[in-house]
Amino acid sequence: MNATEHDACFATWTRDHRAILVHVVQAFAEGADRHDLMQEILLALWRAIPGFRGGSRPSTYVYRVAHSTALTWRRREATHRRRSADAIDADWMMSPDDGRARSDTPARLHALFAALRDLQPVDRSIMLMALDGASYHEISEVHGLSESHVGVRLTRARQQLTRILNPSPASDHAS
Amino acid sequence: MHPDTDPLTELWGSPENQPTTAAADRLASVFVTRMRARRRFQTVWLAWTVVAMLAISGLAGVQLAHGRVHGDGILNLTVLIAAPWLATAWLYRTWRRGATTPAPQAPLRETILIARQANRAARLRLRVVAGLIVTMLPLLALAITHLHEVGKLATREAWSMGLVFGAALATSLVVMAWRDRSRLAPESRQLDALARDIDRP
Repeated sequence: MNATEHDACFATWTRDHRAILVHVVQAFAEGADRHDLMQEILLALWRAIPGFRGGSRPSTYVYRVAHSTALTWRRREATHRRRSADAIDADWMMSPDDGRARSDTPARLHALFAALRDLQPVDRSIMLMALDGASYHEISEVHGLSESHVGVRLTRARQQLTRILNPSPASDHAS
Repeated sequence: MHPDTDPLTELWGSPENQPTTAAADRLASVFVTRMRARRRFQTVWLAWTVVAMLAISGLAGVQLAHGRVHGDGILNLTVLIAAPWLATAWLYRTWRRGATTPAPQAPLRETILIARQANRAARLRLRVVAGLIVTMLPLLALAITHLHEVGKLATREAWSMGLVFGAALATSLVVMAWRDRSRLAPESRQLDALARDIDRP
């Protein structure tokens, strides 16, 4: 693969799988850290393209690169954080482009990503793929877990997510 | 579909949760521009270095061909010319290796275990080198004392040598400790936690 093909493939993958990238970033980082994580994922994707042999679907490959980078990524100290002039604001990326959105949707999405960040990293990763509509087979392929294991963890993660998003009045009183 | 997740699925699929194509294109464009600039810089730097070294090596070759260098000078000149070529070749290899990554064909579980193994190996290497440096310190003191006693070093020179070498070794130890504490140890904790998490039933 020459440089032109490489660059074209990167642009296509970034466009076609933009939702995967942005969702992973939102679920694994918040605030200014999102930019750092996005850059790490883009760099990992850039470096991983020559290794793509077509053995799996590009989306599976992108999932693998993005999730493995996010899982092993460590937040940098604020003083070391890169603040380049061309920083991409993840909020800007998520801005609605058609005005059809319900007014409370951004707040609900914010709460959803906050709840996702409360899950254990691997559960979060599995849940993200499930929300994106990935099959158990694809999730198990990316994570190296059996499909039944994925199913068990997904059920538990869903319950936990629902609990976080809809705390019962009883638990409010208890706390 | 799980009944609890239906509202979630609906929320997840809402337009606000879908990044625009324009935003993704801009993201890719900014990134590709930066990577191309880096690639261009590396190519120009490498080309310039190779041209400069070819010129110097050519001059050295002419000197050798005309028999203007004799005896040990031939070996010294060869080593002198070979060293920058080796350094450039090493740099080129590092850049090439940095441009790609081992294909993430392995599932995340294996990736985490491999990363944990690499982290442990790195920490072990660091400890071995630190141990060697700690061993070197008394040996260095002994060698300087011996040289001083046999009259090869004046007292002032012995102190200077002890301070310079001691400071260099101590700095190395501090840098290694800092690297372990700030990078490798937290990474190790993170990877251990991930390995436990992924194997959790």
